Amino acid sequence: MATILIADDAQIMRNILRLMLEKAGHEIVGNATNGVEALERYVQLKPELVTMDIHMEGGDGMTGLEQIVQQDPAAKVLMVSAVGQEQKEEEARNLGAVGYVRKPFQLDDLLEHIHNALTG
Amino acid sequence: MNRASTHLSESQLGFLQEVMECGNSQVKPTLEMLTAQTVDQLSIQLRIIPSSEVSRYMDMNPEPLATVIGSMHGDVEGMFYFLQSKKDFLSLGHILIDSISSSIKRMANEPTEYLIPDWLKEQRSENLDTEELEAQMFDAVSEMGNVLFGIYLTALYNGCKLGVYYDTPTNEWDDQHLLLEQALRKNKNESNCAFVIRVDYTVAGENLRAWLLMLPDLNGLRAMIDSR
Repeated sequence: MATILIADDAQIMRNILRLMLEKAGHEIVGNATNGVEALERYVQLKPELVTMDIHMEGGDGMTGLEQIVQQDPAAKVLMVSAVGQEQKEEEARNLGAVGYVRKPFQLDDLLEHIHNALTG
Repeated sequence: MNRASTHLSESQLGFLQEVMECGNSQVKPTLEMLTAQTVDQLSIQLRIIPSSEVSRYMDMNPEPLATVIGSMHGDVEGMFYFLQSKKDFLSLGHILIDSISSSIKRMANEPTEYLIPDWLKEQRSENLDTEELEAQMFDAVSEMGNVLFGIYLTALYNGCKLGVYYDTPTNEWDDQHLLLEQALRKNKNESNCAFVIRVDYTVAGENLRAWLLMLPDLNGLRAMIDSR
C-alpha cells in the first residue's frame, strides 16, 4: 500500500484514479488540479507516489514534474496522460518521471505501472 | 470528396485516412473508461473533406453545440474540435458524472449505496445545482475530448512521425454555430482540408453522436503528405 497524490484537472479522471487505486489498497492522500498545486501538495503531504497529468490549466504536468523532482530528487512521479507520443514520454523520463501511462488505460495496466514505479 | 478542392490526390487522401484511422481502435476503450460502462454499437467514420463541405456533411440540427476546442502546435498547427449537440451533451454529461456511482451499484445484486464513498455521493448530479452540474458536465466532456484528441494525434505521430501537441482544451457553447463556421472559414483559406470523425455509439441505453474535427494549417498538411 502506498500514499498517492493525484494531479489531474479533470474531476472524472481524479475519481477514476482514486477508485482504482483505493480498490488496489493504496491511500489517496490528496488531489491537485495543476502542476503548481501538485508541487505545493507534494511538499505538504510527502506522498510516496504522484500521478501527474500533462495538460492542466494553471500549470502543466511537465513543469510540475520538473519542480517536484528538483525539490526532491527521490520523488516518484508517474505521468498519466492522453499524449501518447514517444517524444513526450522521453521528455518526461528525462525530467525524472518514473513511468508513463497513456490514457485510456485498463486497471491492470495502471496497477502494473504503479507497482513498477514504487518498486523500481 | 472533392479532389479539386482539397488539392490532394486519391493516394494522398488514402494515406492520410489510413494514418488517422489507426486512432479508431482506442475510441471504444476511451468511452468505456470514462463512462465506466460497456459501449455498444460503436461506429466511427473518418472523412477528409474541404472545409466548405463540413457543415453540409455534419448536417447538425440548429441547436447549440457543446464545443471542446484545442489548439495544435508543433509540426502541425491548427485547431481541434470535439462537438456534440446540446441534447447529446446533456445525456453524455449525466452518464459521465454518475458513471462511477452507477458502476459500483451494478456490481452487486443487492443494494450497494453503502459501497459508494461519501466523497463520490456528494458529486452525483442529483446533489449539484444547475450551474455546478453544467460545469461538471463540461469538465467531464472536455476530458473525453482531451483523450480523443490525444488518440488521433498519437496516430498522426506514429504514422507520420510528426510531433503535434495541444494546449489544455477549453469549452464553450456555440449557440448558432458561429465558432464552428468561423473556424471552417479560416481553414478554407489555409489548407482547406478538414479531418472529420463521426462517432456514433450507444451507452447506458442512449444513442449518442459526437464529432471530432481537425483543421490543420497548410504547412502541417504538407508535412503529413511529405512524410509518406
